[in-house]
Amino acid sequence: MASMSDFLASHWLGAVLLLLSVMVMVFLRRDRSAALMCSSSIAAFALGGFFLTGKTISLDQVYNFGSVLMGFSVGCLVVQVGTLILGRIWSWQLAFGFSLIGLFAMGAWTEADLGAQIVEGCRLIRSIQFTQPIWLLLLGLIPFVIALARRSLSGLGRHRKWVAIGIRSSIVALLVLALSEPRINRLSENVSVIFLLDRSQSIPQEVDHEANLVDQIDSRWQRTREFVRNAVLLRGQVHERDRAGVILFGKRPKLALPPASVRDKFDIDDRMAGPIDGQYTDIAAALKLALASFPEGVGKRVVLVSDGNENRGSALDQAALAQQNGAEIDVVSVAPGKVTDEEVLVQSVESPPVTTTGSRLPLRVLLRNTSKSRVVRGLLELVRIGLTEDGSEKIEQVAIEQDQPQVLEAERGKPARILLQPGLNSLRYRDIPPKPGETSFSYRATFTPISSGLPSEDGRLTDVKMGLPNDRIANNRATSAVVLRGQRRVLFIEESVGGRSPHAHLIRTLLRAEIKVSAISPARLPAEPGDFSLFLTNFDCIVLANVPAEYFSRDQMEAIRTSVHDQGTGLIMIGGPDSFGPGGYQNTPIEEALPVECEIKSPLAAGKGGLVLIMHASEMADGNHWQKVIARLAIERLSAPDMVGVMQYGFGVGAAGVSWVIPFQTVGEDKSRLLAKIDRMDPQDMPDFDPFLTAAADTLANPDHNLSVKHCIVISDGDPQYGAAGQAATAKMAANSITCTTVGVATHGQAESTKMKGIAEATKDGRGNPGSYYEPKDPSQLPSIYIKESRRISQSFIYDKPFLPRHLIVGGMTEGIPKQLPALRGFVRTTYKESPLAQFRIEGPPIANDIRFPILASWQYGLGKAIAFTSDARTQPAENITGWDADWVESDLYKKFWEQSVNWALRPVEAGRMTLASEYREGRIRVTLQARDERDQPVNNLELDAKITVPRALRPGEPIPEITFKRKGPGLYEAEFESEEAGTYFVTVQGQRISGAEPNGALFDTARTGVTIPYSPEFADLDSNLPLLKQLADLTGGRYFTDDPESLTQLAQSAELFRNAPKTSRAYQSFWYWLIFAAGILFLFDVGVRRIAVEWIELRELGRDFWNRLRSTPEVQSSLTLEQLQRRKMEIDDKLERERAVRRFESSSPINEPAPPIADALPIARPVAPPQHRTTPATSETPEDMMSRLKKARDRAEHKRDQSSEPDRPT
Amino acid sequence: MTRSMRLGLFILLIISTALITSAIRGGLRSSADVVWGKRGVLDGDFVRPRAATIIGDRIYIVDFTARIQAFSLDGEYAGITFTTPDFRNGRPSGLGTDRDGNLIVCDSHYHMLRIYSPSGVELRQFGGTAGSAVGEFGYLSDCVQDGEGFYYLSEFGQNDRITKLDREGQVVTTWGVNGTGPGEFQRIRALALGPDGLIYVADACNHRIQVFDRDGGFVRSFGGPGREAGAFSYPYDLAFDPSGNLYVVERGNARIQQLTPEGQSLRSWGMPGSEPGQLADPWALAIDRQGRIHIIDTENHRVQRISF
Repeated sequence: MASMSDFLASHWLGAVLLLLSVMVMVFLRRDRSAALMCSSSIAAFALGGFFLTGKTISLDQVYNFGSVLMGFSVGCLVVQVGTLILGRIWSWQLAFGFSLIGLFAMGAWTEADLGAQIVEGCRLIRSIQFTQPIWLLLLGLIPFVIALARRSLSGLGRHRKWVAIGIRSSIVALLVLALSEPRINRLSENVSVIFLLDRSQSIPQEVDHEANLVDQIDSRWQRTREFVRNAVLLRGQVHERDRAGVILFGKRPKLALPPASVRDKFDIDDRMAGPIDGQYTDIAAALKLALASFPEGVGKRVVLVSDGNENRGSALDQAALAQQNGAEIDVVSVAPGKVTDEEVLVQSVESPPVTTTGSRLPLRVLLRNTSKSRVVRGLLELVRIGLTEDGSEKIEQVAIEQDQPQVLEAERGKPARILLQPGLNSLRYRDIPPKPGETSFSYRATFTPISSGLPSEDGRLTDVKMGLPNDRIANNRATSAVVLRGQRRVLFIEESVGGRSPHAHLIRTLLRAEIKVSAISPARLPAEPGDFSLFLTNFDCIVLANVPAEYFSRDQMEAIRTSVHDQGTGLIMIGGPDSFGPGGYQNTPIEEALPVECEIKSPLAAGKGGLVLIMHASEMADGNHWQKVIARLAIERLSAPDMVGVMQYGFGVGAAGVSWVIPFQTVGEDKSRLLAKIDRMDPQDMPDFDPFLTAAADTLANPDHNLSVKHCIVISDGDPQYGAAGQAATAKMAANSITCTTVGVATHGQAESTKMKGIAEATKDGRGNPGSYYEPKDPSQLPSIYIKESRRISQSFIYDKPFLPRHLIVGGMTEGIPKQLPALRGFVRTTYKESPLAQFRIEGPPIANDIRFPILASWQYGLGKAIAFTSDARTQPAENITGWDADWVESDLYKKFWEQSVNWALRPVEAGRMTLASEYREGRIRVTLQARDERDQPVNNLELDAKITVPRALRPGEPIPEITFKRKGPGLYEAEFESEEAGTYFVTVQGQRISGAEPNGALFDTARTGVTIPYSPEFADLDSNLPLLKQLADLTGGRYFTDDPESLTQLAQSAELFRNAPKTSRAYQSFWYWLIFAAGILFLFDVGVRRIAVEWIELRELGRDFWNRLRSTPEVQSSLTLEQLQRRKMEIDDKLERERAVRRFESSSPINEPAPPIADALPIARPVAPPQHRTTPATSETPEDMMSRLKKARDRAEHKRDQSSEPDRPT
Repeated sequence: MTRSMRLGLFILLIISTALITSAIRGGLRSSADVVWGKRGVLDGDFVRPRAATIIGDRIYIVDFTARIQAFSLDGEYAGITFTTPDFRNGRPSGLGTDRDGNLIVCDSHYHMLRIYSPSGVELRQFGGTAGSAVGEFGYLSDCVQDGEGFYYLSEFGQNDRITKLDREGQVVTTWGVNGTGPGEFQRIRALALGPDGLIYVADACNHRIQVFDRDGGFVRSFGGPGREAGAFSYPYDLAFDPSGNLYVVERGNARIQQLTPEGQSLRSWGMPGSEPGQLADPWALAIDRQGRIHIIDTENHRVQRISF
């Protein structure tokens, strides 16, 4: 019975049609054959739907049975028409039969769908709501429209009049409906399910440690993936239109798969979302992203697969929001009740904040063994990390105190072997720190587990297992707070040339001035931003002496910037061809800290450079990728007024294949357009260099571009031909001071290298220097080559002629330096920063009086001071090397100038009058400051300016945490700030005494401290946070599941997760614009109906004539005598006349009309002429006839209008 | 109308349909007969195919992944894939057929000629020493063997010349230097033996075809850079059909030209693009016994077969 009702539900249309066919048979008795045809057609359609819906037939492939039948019937009908055309044979019966088969097939195709669509349509119509129903009153206009139209359209004849009236009324009705703003109110039955999968490191992994390393996969993650995949793919037919998406989250959520109604594939992969920082868990952010990702108008469900250990954000707050939004949170709790035992955490390294000289420093390392019963044996190492004289890291072992029960074996200079009891273990150390004033240092403790076992009564271990399988390495290490002291040390970063310092003379001069200078090459700096920040705290001033920006990572530069801004370190950039603009410091954090901008804003000053890049497909692995990297770098390094063009060999772009990826053009401020073009570049294998070199030479030599530096770079495997035309091009380059650098990438042999070297050497710049040839062996060398090369273009930054600098401000750092300065022989052009803090002390030669360039500029940047000296310090009298400052070296001011400059920039001396202590507790760092004056009396009237450096580089626009000290007691100040990140936080405080209400400007003292959060709280959590997960589910009405394999499988198969959402969402869809559109179309019809009259009789006659000619039924024609035909013609003429008389635009004057078509169609001369020779004047004349009538009507109307407008014309 | 008449009419209808279809096909000659192949690294796919030769009813194709693969002339993968021993320095870029029906592979970047059996077993090799002296080779681009067993090898890059070897691999003669004059070359991409016993040379960067007798005597040259009929842009490969017409594939113009052996252009086919009937950087062609032309449509990673 149920199946019967199901059948009827899907085939109700078929049933209705069948009923209709019976009714037609019963009620249409007058015309038996018509009734039979009609009802059998309807029945065929209905029966097709009944019997063939969804049926398939397998021939060579599986086909829909309906389609096969349809094909058959259409094929047969085509054949029949063919035989009709060729053989004048036609059988109505056969045609009807085939049509019936066609209808039967059509029923199979569409009956069920059509029924469903009608039902859906009815539902839609029922759900229409009107936003402005008041407008519906205007529907009352329709009767007036009809009344008016009846009168005005009475000339159209009966049928056309009613059609026109109908159309007009519809237009009015549609416009009224549109005004009332109808919208469909659909009750959404679909659900969108977004799976939030926790990828943080607190989720315990299930790895078979016995297996090979390769086979060690996390089966828990595999299971979760499988579960999500099955849950989505097995959600069943009913939920087919439901959507599913995936968000992976750790510290930040990432939308791996946006919600979509997937059917066949739903595989999740970690790679989909890019790297995920698993150090933290932010369920709240993931929920927020999920809520934002839900499509409109569907039920919303989040399936959260997590252990609930959140350490950022508040998931409960977001859950409340989700509840308001009608979203449900189902929770799958990962490893509920699982406690991460057999794990050792190094909880902290405690060291006293203030060290007293010479005394032994008590230290304590706290370790937690999380196992309830097992003891763990392992190695504990505590090291002091300091700094050697040359600036590199110095690590020394700290000795453990022997007389502790946990210590099994302690050898000097080696990690101690210890035994950890279950629970908290405290281990004591003692260290003699280095003398204060020498170096800063910190302590780091690291624990390495060896084995674990159950202690037995005889003191031996039973059930010994090697290693700690569940141990997480990340929490096996902790660092102490850093002890920081100012030492007036200068970090001098320079690149040594041939093992020698290019600034040796300056460094010696500074050392003579008793400034401690550590010269270091950028390659030896710690690469990790955290380590680099820690390293920088050892110095009070950083000097960047002619080092290009590419030697630093962005994070390193940011570390330098924050060290200046937040910790008061001084910064000096000394010029040279690799500094400032030509060194690529544009838009870097270091530029931000400098008192000058590295870009030259005025194109006048820049002296335009022109660069043409020629790209050849490389057979080197990733060669094409590197080409793009290089092209991008080269473009990024160019300044706005420079010009650039990129060529490649491309197919189908002219005989020579020269295709300009970037036509030669000015770089401009916005480089993104050019960079996008580079990304789309696809260089091909170039047959010869010649057309490219010719194009490059012609372009760069073009005097219209007005280029001061012209350069071309070719990157190739050396394979293309370099013929006579190419040699002519390189000769032209040499004549026009164009250099060409060639880079041989994966050349095939010496011959190719020689050829490319030949190209480079054939070109010459203005001074006769040839282009360079490079042959990198490793693609990663390519960028640095290109940077060096593109720097040739940026030589427009450099002014290298002697000039007399003008000393503008004497005093401060230039106190005692004469107003008249010796000449300098060059400098780098920069732009002075418009800031009240910046001081423009020495100036170089200006351009046109109003474009001025600083030689020495200084400013206060945050807590630190920064100096830009745009000339160089490369002169070394001892080695006979002369730089731009050769004349300064010889004068007396050299030592004085540099000593005063560096001293000005150095961080203020930490006199020890302020001491800082800091501690980390529950996500907050508390800093306590004690201030005492020279007589050891507490100082209460201090204005404290404090800055924090956070462990990671801030994103642009991210607010810097603020810190404010409040006085808590005599000379005691306290401040607190939130700290979530693992790593070292630095706090720097500068104190000024307040005299009266204002600070008196005199610095009381500065103090710094560092506090290290050893590891993310992610690793402190040992078990799942079930209460939170349950709360999330309860709050939003979701359900709670666990992740054991069996229940996951069941859950996936039950389609439970796709059950109807609690609050079925409504989707409102307005469609008034469609109504307007329809009204517009109808309006056209309205005009059409009134203007164009269809001669039904003519059409009928035409059709009959056509059919007769097809059949060429001679019986009929031969029976017509001429008289009969003429009589018929007269009849038709009369009829047409009557019709035309009622036509509106018909003129009353007689028109020379052609004879009615039927007249010409008469086979007058040859009544039984062969059909192929018959002409068809009727068909060719009818449209002409109608067109000409319309045209005449228009002419008459225009004529009338002209006449009527005549009197208005001015005479 | 009798039943037999109706039957006759029906048959007439079918015949006329067939005739119309074939007429339409004839009218749409510009599109290729067969287009096959797709980009991929699995067997049967290729990445930028660069040279081809036909042995019997199989076409051998080498691509930028250095794989030499065999296909039927309709594009069905014949199950043979092999590579030269080493291709880190570069991939083979010329294929030829010797008179025993073996496959000649120009291991271009290893300066040697390798001869493989049709199933991919290496039979012998010549050369292997880089250099400019006689018997040393630069970048080998193509090789043909004549009826008497002499091999003709073309090189470019370091040396722009043709070397004639006897069947033991001993140098008989060499000719050609870099240049633009008669008998001078800039990048010989391919060789073909004409039915007239002459050697036709695709002098790619001079955009011309040069003709020599088998001892290196210059006979004639034709072509020149351009887009018009009879001119060439980077002619990269050439071959003769059984009726003695010369076909040249032009990389720059993305077309095939049919010429008389004297260089008079008869017809051309192809235009730049990626639709069937369009070519993207075609590098090579091969002509089978029926005179059908198999064009290696390199940047479209496919083969198009046409017949003029």
